Amino acid sequence: MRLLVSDLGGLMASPAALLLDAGMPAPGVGLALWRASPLGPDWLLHPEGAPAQGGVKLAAAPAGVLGVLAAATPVWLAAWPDDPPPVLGDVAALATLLAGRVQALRARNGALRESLVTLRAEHEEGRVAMTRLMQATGQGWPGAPRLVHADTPGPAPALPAGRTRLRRLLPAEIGGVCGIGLHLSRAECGPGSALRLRLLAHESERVLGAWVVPGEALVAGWLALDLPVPAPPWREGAAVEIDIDLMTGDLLALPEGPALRLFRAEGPPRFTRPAHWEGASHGLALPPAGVRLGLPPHVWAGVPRRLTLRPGEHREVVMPALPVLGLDRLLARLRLHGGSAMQAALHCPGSASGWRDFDWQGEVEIALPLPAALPATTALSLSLRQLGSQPCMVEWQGLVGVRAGETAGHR
Amino acid sequence: MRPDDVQIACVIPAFGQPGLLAEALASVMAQTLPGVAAVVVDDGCRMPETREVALEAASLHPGRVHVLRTANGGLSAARNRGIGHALAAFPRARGIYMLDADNRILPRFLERGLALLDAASPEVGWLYPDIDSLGVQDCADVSGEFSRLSLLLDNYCEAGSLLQRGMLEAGLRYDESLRQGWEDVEFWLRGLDAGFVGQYWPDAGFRYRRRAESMLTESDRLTPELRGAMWARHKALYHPRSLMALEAAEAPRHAILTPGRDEARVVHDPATAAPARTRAAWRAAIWAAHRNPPARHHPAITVFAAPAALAALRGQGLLHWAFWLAALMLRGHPAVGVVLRPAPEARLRRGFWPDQLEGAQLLFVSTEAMLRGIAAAPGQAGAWAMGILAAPHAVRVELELPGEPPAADAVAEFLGEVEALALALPAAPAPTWRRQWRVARHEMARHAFQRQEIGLPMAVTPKGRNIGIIQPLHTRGGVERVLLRQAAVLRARGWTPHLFVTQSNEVALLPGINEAYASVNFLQVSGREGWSDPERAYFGAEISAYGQHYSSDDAFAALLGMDAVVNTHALAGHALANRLRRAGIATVLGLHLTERGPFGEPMGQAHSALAYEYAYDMATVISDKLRGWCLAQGWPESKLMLLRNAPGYPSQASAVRPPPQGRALRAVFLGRLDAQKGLERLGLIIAATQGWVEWRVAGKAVLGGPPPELGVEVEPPAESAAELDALYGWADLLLLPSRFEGVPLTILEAQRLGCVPIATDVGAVAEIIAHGEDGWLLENGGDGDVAAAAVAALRALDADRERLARMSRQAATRLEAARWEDTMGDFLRWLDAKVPA
Repeated sequence: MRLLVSDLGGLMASPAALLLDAGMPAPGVGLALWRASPLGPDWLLHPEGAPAQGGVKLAAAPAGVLGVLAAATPVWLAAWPDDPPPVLGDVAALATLLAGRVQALRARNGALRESLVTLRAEHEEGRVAMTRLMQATGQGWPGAPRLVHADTPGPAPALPAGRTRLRRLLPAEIGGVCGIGLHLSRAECGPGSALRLRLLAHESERVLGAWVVPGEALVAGWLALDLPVPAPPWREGAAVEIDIDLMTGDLLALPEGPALRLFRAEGPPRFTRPAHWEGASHGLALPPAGVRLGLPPHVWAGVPRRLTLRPGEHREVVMPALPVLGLDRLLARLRLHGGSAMQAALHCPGSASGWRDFDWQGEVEIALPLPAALPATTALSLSLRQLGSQPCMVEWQGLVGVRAGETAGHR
Repeated sequence: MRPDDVQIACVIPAFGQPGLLAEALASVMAQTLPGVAAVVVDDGCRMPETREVALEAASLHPGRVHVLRTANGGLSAARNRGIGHALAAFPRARGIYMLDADNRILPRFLERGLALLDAASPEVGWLYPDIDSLGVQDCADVSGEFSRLSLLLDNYCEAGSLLQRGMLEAGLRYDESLRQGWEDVEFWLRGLDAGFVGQYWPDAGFRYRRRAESMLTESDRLTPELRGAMWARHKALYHPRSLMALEAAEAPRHAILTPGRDEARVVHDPATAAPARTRAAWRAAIWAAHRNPPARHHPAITVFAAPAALAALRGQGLLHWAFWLAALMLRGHPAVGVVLRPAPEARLRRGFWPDQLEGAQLLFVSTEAMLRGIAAAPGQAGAWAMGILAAPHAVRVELELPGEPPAADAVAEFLGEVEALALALPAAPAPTWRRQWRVARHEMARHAFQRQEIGLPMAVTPKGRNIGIIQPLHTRGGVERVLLRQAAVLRARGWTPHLFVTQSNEVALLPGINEAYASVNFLQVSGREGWSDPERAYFGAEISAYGQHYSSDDAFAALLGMDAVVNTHALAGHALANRLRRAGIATVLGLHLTERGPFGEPMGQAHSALAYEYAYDMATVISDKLRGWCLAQGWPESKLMLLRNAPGYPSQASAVRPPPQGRALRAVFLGRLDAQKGLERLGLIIAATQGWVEWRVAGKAVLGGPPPELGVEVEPPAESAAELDALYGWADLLLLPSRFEGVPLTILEAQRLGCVPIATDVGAVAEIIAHGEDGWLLENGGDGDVAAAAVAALRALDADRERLARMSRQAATRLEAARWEDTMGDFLRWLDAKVPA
């Protein structure tokens, strides 16, 4: 039995298909139908209606084949001696087979549901036991952590204004990490600047700790950041991602590297109430950098996608709760229908794009940087102002989020 | 998803893991990389739910899950089927990822993998991740540059590796006959054979399920059998020569630090050039390697030696041997010093014992011992260094060789370097938190050789055709001179001869030795080469026990750079011959004579050699008589070759001499003053011819004690061509009343210059003397009878000077055409056929 290379995907990825022996009429059932036609000394499987021509050899019956519609056992079935698909004399036999399959699938589904219930019960018991254990073990004084990694601070260039992202993979395991130290060589910042540090399980890119430190809290020396509970015993490497938003005129200098200390909890458990803790990120799997990520459809609820503005009119559209965790930039795409003298702007707490003109084709893409100190969910506003003399319509075509890569040049 | 959109296809063989297959599939479907498809190969699984789980995934992810069924053929066959399907169905897929049904991958895994694969050079056939376990917790580090040698020792390339499309399109597939495991190791070895290499895939996010019992634990129990299966399938890769080349390329043995210069050279073969790096860069590199030895290499041995010291060794052909000896000593000691001393005569001599290393021109230190010693207490590094320079830690090797010794600056340089290394000790912890489990890179070669019971090979990069001449000792005897002449002819013919001495601590520097032999090597390091096996003898002839001594593994290894070996009279050579032959080295036995002991018992190498016939490809004999003897002993005729002797040195003198008229006859004896030569007979002859024969005797005792009183003053041995020419030119007659002989060179040399030999008819002497025509044969018997016959011969020739002159001319004429190039003709042709240039 042979099959065209171009049909490999169609047949092998098909979860349910019916094979027709040569000469059997095609039944009117909602199934993928594949016809066996003689091809020289061999046979060819091809979609019903397609011409028969040479192809690759099929060593075994495709897994998704329900059966073969044939008046008698076709000779070509001999090519698949191991577990051949059943031969069905007519559509009634197919219906009997399918009815049996439905019954079997229902039973299997029921069994899976039962095992899910068992697993859920076990999981609930596990959660209760864990809570009890934490309460019981958390009665003692927090144990002193052990320093497991320490860098010596080197030369420290001042960071440029705006956003800087640094990342460092540490030669240490994430499990049990309970605190981080970051060395700031110089820090003269106001409340407009902020530093966000995320502790990541490197291989899975999951966030196990996040802190946002406002500019006025940054002082030269070691910045100590505690985890509320030690990181779970995952067998992954520890990585640190640092985002710094620096206002013009503020000064922050970090050693190249940057210089870090890592502490691990040992002995009695260690529960703390950490400063600057940003709990919303905990457990977040960071999206890949540079990829445009669609936002969930519910963010558009109540948001008009088409707006008509009169000459001189100013309009503002607000998305009250946009999930931006893990994103560094929003990109909005707008289109202008009729007229040209229209401007648009995006803003959220702590960031604004400024007014942007539509291009000659009536399109504009507006980027909005997201501040490090922004909470997990934020309000986003789109402002429009009509500067022309004719009414025109603006269509908000799309909104995506992007996670930025590492800032080049500061290793 | 359209087939053209698939960038990576994951092939998942499924057999008996339906519950876990769902997890594996889910982890593939959750990849952040767009264009990831799965090809599930149901390997004839008897559990119907395996197929159901796969078809459910196909329903849930339209176009992304292909489900193949096949009759049960094992893991390799299922993988091959999946690969074939993926290559055909996804024409633009750049990689095929092999995922076992019970393992998982984290969501960013293939995104990282494809980026790495796209950036990799074309010879990178596969990317391998760290082996992080699920279940039984264990995270195993496989970081570092890819190493072929390491792969021969440890299977550190996970089966769950990302395969480059090009490698698979080149036809590489898994061996379907391996059904008990190690099919992945074997696949990587096929990749190496096809010219591909692997590349480490850092921080990948691979999860390997480790359970108490699995296919892996089962195949672990079969390790010896499976290892044998690998060797059988990849003989060329595991061949000792291949391991030597891999060691040179991936794990060079030495770092040579030149005293007084800010440079370090990492070399395997000390005779080759290597770019110098600064000491600071070298220190940083070796400390980094010390932190993760399986991932980074530092040379096992740090050598402190000035170019002059290296040149002194090289000048005598001792360089590789000295480095080899030091490496052997460093197995049990942290430091070995080599002291070069001027030799009182033309010889090389070696000795070694635990002692302090003052005055050493070369110092060899175990790099690992040095780094450990410094890291343990950086503040006391200097004291530690002083401590290892004395007994019992240090071994002092003394070498006597010609010429003025170079400056002894190695120890001071070492002490300074230790202080600098202590200052350069990095504070950072180990570069990985994962478990380091592979063999350290500086130990890889040792382990690879050890698994094949091979000791320590020399650090050489063999070039051209090399031939080893094995002898138990190298004095000033005839056999040494025969071999020296043969080596010179071999060298002129494009071979590179090397001398290996198995028993003696000394090598006599015969004229021309440096031109004939590229290197001189002493093999006996521990154990005595001459030990015979007390339990076994072959018809009374001794058999070597050397093969059972561990040091024979090292001697065998030292000879691995050879393409052919000629063993002449070394019992240890017999013990090594078959191992050498099995390693693809042509083995030749050189036979020169048969001997008998003091009780007339058969003894000596010819008798012992009969026990080793199986081990040799060919035997050369110097006479028809010896050839006949070997045939009579059952030696195969087609493994026997006549290689006659020719004069032992190139003469500058003329054979034309004035007739010996009007003066007393002049007779000479020259050679070893040993019992074999019949010295008592010589003494009687000299005493009986006082007054009418003028005598000269030149030579010295070699094997026994001082010679008996001969009645004439004994001159030192004549060695140079000029000395020998003068002696033969002076004498009318050569007297050789030996008890046994082979084919003495002295007779041939004397005849060439018209000096007529009178010799006992022993060995094959009758083949080179036609009695009464070009020499005189004496019947061998009691000392008195032989002496009387010799005196009678002298009287006859004294009386008939014309006859003597005629014999002189005939001898010179016959020897005129005797050249080594001609006598060796058949042998050279045989060698050339065996080892083509």
